[in-house]
Amino acid sequence: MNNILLVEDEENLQHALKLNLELENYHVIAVGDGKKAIDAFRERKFDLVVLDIMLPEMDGYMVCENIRLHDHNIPILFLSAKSTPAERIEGLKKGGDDYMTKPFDLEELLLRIKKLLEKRDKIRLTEKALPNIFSFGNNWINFDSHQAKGIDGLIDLTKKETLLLKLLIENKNTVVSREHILKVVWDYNVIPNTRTVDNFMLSLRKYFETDPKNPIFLHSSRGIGYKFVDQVAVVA
Amino acid sequence: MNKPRIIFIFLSIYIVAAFSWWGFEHFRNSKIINSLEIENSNLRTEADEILCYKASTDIGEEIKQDNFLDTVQLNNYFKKYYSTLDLVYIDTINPFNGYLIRPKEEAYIILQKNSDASNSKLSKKKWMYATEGLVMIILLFWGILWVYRTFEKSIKLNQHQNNFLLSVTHELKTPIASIKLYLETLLKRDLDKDQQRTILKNSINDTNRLRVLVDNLLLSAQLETNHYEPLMTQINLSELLHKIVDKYAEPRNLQDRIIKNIEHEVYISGDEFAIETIVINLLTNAEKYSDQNITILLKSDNKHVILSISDLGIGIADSDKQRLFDKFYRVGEEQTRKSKGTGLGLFIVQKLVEFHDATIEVKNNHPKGTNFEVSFNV
Repeated sequence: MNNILLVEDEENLQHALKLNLELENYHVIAVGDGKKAIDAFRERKFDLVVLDIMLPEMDGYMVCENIRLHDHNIPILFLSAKSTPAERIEGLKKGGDDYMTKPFDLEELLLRIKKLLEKRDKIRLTEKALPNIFSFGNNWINFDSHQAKGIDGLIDLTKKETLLLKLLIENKNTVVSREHILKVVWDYNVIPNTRTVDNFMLSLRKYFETDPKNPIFLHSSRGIGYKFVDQVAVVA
Repeated sequence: MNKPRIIFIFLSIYIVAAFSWWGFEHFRNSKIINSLEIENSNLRTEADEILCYKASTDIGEEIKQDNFLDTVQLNNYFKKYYSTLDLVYIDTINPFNGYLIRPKEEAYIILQKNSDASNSKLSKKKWMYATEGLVMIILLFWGILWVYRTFEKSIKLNQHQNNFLLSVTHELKTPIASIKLYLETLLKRDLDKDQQRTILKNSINDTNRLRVLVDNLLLSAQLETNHYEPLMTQINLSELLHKIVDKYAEPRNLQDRIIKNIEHEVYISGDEFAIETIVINLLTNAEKYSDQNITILLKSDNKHVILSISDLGIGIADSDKQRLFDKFYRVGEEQTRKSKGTGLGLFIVQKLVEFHDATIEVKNNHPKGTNFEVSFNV
């Protein structure tokens, strides 16, 4: 039985969607704001997320980014009244697998959900064979096991170190602001000093840079944030 | 900084600089003009006599040594024909060889007077230029400030309108999507009677929501373009309020939450529809932003009729109070909106209140929440 997380703040829509999905034999957890969505996502495993964008507390884009940090593969379907091309592109850029606008056709929605879940099943079969590893220079990092190889050999990273590195790599060659890092990687409820991010970056540089003072991969952008530079792309 | 702002600031600096330069030149020129005037007036003394330096070239021939026997004769001649001029001998041995002709002291005084008169005219003119200049500069600055403010207002209005468009899109599309989904569900699924009833009721609510939104949009457009014409009649405000509140509370099950404190037999001159809109908009806000009791109060004295709607909700910050009645104004960010709305409700309320020779005030309620007070003049 597939678990679907439904994030929609409009009462009637939430009610109707939940009803229909349950009648399709999905198990549905429905929440009405961004914060509750993240809490629910942490509490159990889901197979698909139906995500509205204009939500109280935290908008859909941020929820998506947060989910993506923890689960690269889970299908996320955006369902929003925002329908301009720019907004659809934004949704897909943030990690959504599909984007439907309101008002929508019920049959189409159910069909798309079904196809996303089928694809998800197919991926699951191959997922176990390939580990989720990213390599850069002489280093590599396994996002699932939190293991990595740095300049001093094999190391075990903490969960936050892994997530931080993952966020920068996912946004490679783009500057990610300190504030954004805090919001997405740390708990939005407990926002520590932005210095914390700097300290984490110093540790990561120690692990992976041959000369931490002159970083090749983990660059900083004065006053803004940090950027992971993908050397392979640059050379090519 | 956007382009219009940059152009505006640049133009303002240029205009002020050009004007100041013009003023300064004016000032400087008036000094030159003044000295020229002095010279000019000196050229015409009271007796219209020629100045001494001219005299020395013009009448030098007349007073040559050959024409006179001695200096006494010359002096007499001089006294007779050039009474305003003095003859001063420099060469005591051969006076006719070295002499000076110059205006008498009295003439100097006249010249001095001319110069003084001119100078005092000049200083008067300087004061005139200064005050004129100051007045013009003040007007200029006031004009610049006014244009800048209007600029800012229209930029802000634009921002607000963008916010508005964002929320209107959402507000219109969402109920439509929900009704559509419900209808598709009814068609597709085999549901029991209770489920069907719930779905149908919810759909009807959504159509009402849409209708209210469209009405608000229409009304605010009319109000803004001055196409709204109220139908003023004598109204029993007490009865009308009871009717409105009951009509509002019943479908929403709010009868227990709305406390009516309505004085009997209060009459005003007004438009029934407008009053209904005012009350419903205020009640909607109170319901939206609070979850406890809402009080509607009507009382009157000799001068005023007071209608007040108060809640015990989240209240309104002082900084927001100022702009609360602006068109499209909503507290907070559009992306993470907790409550639905377009920012038109209070704009409409204020405009309608104005039609009734009344005022509306927003105050803090105690211990918390907000109080909207409409005061009708009688």
